[in-house]
Amino acid sequence: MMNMEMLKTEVYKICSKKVVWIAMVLFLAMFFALQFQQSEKVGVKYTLEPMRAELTSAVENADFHDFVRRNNYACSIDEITQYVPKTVFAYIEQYKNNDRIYGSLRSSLINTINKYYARIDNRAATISELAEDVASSDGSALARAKEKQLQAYQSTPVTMELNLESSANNLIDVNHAAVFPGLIMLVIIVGLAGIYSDEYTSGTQSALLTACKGRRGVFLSKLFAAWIFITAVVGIMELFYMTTTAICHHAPSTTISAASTYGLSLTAYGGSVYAFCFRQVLGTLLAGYTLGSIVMCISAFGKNALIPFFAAGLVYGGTALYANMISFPAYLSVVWSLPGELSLFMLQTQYELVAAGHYTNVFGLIVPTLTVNVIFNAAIAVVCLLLCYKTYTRKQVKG
Amino acid sequence: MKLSVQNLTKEFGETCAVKHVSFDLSYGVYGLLGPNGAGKTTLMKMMVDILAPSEGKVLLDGVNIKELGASYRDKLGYMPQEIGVYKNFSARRFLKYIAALKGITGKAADEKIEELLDLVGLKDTGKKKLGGFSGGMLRRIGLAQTLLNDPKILIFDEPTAGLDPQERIRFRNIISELSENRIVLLSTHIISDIEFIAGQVIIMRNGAILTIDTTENLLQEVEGRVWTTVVSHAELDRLKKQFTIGNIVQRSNGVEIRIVGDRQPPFPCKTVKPILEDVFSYYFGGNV
Repeated sequence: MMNMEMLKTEVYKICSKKVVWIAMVLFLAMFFALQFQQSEKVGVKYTLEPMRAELTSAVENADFHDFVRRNNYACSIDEITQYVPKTVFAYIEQYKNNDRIYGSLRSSLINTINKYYARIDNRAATISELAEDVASSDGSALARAKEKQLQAYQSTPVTMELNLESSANNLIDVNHAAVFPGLIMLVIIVGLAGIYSDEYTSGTQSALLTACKGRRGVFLSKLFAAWIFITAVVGIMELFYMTTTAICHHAPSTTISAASTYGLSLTAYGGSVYAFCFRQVLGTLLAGYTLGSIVMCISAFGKNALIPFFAAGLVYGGTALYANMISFPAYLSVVWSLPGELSLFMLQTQYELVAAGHYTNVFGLIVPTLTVNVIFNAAIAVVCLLLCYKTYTRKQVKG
Repeated sequence: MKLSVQNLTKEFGETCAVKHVSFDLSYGVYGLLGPNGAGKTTLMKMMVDILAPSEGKVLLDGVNIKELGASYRDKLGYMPQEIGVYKNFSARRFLKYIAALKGITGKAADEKIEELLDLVGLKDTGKKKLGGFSGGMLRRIGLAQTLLNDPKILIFDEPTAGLDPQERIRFRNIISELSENRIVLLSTHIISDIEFIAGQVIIMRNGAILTIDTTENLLQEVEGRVWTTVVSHAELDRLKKQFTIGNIVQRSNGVEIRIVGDRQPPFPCKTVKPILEDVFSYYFGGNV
């Protein structure tokens, strides 16, 4: 049905489009420029990471915790000197002659301590509140969602660690800030928009459809070529994003839990920052395959690349924008939140879906919204590919 | 081998482009002749299964080509009217891809490509990008890609359109050489393309077949119906309205015209031996 030469040529057709590589290089250059700007910031260059062991030991002191709690997580640096080892202050004092570095490190110390305890207590309070709600459950979908979330908290132990560097949050933000995940999808759309319609513009449709390998062979070779292209684009761009961020923000020297980063303190996800980033990359890959399927399906109907380009762009961009605009309801999805929660962008970032409990009522079953997202988008991909196959295998050359 | 077209019809909305066409083809060269809009391209597209007929079917040795699928396409070589190529591909890369689509890969493909590039006179341009090829060169690439799978059924849709006389002769000779033990169907406006090589001619007009016959029989039909005479320019305009004028040639003493019709003109003229072009004029009238 298909041979390696057909596959190689289809990959060549996609990759020989200069606009794909120009777009990718431009986007990566833009990303690098933005990240490089950050790398010279005092708060990025000078952190308390060398003092991690001392600070970790200090915050395990229950009295320290009580003290900060009683002061409403707004202690000043002078108030905590009794709890923080002198070595930490000695480390900061070495920069006394540089006001910016000195001020930044002192500010970082007090903010880190206050926020650390605030996150721990907030999480404990949330779990406690959930337990009370579950105890007085009315059996509604919302109540069952809360119960699931409580079970998730209880079954997945999460270690809260000190977040001493900006790199941990920035690594997660690579696939969270709306623009950069979107640029990966844009390169995919640009590469695949003409995968079928270009055969019309180049006039090669007759040659392809009258060959013995036929429509099925052409469909399969284009499909596998698209998958190779998508995997390469996601791989190259994500690797560049992560590497650049790690270099510019100094990769975390220790692997802290995702729950220790700002914004994810209420997550039931127990994995590390790196593990969460890996999930985001996998999510981006699946989102890429799904978007690629949508583009190919539309391209099979059309005679030029513009319609699939704009249509797919609208689908992705519209739902991504919506996901960024709305405030998601707590614990249980509602009808108006689903277009955002099931968007491809949300599959890439997974941030909001993992940050706190997100469940969807699927015909009475309470299912994590992330799971529903994965299944939904996989189904979209399958349907689009089937439609693409049906359309192409019945293709006629009228004009 | 017999390729049968049975009651083939194609409607586009209210327009019927091909009307209940039936004929059988066996080994040899068949010319498909007709003016623009006669339905030749539509008919050919249905015969190569890239356009679904509204009615009718195409059979190869009694089996519907839709059922044969890949085994029919394996025997088929189709050269469309517009040769489509990937402009950023070299000639060799393009032919290698088409060969792969036809199930020919590796060394066999490379050898076949070299053989065909030599046949069509493009041996030294294998590495050149197709975007830089002239119209004539692209037609030759089109011919090469049509012949890659050594097809037994060759369907050419106006293969010499836009070619200069030398290239047309070359094409004609290649097709003529290939026609042994093959079914070759060739549509054209250029009558000299088929005059010398087609054993039978199918004449189409307005989607229907007017006649199918050997070249000799068609010429026989207009025997004694073709005359030449020399007239003045002033007379020419008048005569165009009364008679079917085939050829017009400027002479020193006037304009030599070739008249085709059922009745001899009522002025001095010479009866001449008909050519295939006269058959075209006879069927389609007008001033060619």
